[in-house]
Amino acid sequence: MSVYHQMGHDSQNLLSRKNLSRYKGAVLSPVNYTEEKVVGQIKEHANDRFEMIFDPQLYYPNSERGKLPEWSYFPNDFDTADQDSLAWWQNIIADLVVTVKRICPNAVCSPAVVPRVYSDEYYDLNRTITKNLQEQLSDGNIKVFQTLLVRLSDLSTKERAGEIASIVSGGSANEVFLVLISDVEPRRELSETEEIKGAMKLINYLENSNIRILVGYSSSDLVLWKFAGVSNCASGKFFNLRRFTPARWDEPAEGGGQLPYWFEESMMAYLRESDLIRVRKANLISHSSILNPYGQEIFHQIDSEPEKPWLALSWQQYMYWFADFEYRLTKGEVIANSLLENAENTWNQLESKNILMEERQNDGNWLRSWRRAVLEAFED
Amino acid sequence: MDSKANLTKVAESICKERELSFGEYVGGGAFKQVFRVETSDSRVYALKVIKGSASKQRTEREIQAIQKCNHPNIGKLFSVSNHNYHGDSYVFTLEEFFAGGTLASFLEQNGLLDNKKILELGKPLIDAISHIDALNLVHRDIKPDNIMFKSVGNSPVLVDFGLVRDLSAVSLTQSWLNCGPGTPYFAAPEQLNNQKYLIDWRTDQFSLGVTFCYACFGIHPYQLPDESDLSGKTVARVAKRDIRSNAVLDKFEQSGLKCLKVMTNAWPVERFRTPNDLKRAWQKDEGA
Repeated sequence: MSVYHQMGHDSQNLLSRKNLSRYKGAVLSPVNYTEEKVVGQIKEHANDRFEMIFDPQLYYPNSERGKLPEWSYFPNDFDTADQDSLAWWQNIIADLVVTVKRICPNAVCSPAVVPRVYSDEYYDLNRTITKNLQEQLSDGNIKVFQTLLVRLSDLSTKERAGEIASIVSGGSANEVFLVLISDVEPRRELSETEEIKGAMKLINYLENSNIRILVGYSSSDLVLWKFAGVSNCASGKFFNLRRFTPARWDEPAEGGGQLPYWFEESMMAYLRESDLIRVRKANLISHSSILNPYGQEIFHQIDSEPEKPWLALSWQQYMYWFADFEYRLTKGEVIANSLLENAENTWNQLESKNILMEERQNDGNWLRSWRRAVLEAFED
Repeated sequence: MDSKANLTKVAESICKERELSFGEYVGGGAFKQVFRVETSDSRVYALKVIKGSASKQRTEREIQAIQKCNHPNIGKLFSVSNHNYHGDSYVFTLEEFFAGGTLASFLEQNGLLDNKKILELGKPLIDAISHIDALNLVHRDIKPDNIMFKSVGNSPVLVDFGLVRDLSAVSLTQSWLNCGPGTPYFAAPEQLNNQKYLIDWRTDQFSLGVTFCYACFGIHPYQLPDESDLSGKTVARVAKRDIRSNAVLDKFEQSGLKCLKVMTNAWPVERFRTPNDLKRAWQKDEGA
């Protein structure tokens, strides 16, 4: 039961932060880093207690790919190839094996593309690719995760979680890197109860079948996946801004434009500075936020140097919360049902005190969906 | 003249050509029938005659599958040949003959089995489906009719690979079919719903679980306590993956056959993941 860094653009400094030592490893990003940089990250950080997982990130063939085309396993015919051909995948696997043997991560995720239709055939090919990769790496110590891409909207159909889990568990992978794909906009939370319930069931089915799940690109939704029994979740500094959507793979806009956000557990929400000041004034900041060392730094800075930007601190405040929250959930110090109920109550208090968020869509409404999902996901 | 009589004549003709002595009709259907035959040195075989109009591909798959298997609890195939009879071509096989009859006939004559007997029969049969899985095959038609005994009530053997699925070969079942091949009463939900990518050894695990439940309690795991319909409604409930009644689950618990609960779960992911997982759990039930 642990958390991983989801590496994004310019994230490597976070790996060695003293207060972020609860992270068990990192999911490496060839989209954001060259091979040389990734090798450097592995050499500097990989050890018995810190796992470096290489995700080949072949998700979106048609979007911009950052550094990906510079990697030797990236195929020249990616846009034109018949991607349902196992023979084509075998070439990629062979090249990927050469790459991972050269860079020596602790684990590698199987290559996978985001399909147009998430059919049974797609998942069947997916597990065959994984098996192939496992066979080619069987002579070493590099563990293989099956990359499992699932469209959240598919999971709103009652049967789909059972179908996908049955296909995956019929394969050879004992570790799955699960990526839940949705069209939820940046800074908005998942709010479709049936989709969330389906995702929770999927996680629960696989974990009960002794397949350990690492949910990639996670965020505050960690509380839901933990309730479903997930082993591990990964998050990164950009996840208060961007989720796993096609837009995520566009090149980051240069020249700033990013705002710092504070993650507030008492509301299970990301707050802009002006909203943070309102909530603070109303004495609704959680105990965990007050104890967060980066939160303390942010408050100190806001109080002493209000004009100074705190973007970097905001990432660390969030990343600290993510690991600390997972730890407290695992220990049973936080109970999902009560936490979500309390968070909804906090939003109600703000409403009753006429404290309105500057970011209008930040209204806590998703918490009702989350509470329902937690109550109903496993009621049959 | 009915189909049975037709194939009996063919079997007699084969026996004449091969210098075998024709014994008797053992069982079968419209396309495939089995007869007991004997060699001049008194060795007994099962002669299986398959009509030329039967699916050639399925027949080939069946023969290939049995030829791959080498397990004491799976019927052995000794030879495959063709025979022409009155201008029609027939495939015939000589297979191991089992004098102990089927589990179905044993139940008819002796009534239900106790849990001790189920545990005794389970071990070799689980071993047999484990062997089949290792060959990337799925039997898809495990039921009391397809479990035979070497001697009455002892040493069970799995027979009839007519619906075998070879997971390493292209599926012969069309995707548009509502229901995949199998005997509905013993079939897993993924067979009943023709969910081809969900078919694997866990499909056989389900059918074996239903077979044991039927042999021990005389009911289907998805049958409701007050339900008299033994096939239609129950099968529909399996296909819909409805929950099982507490009465059935209590029977599993009280009889010490706890494995049956997991074996007959609706989704493959909820059953034992590997044959070794099932073997370990079965041993636990045996030791309880």
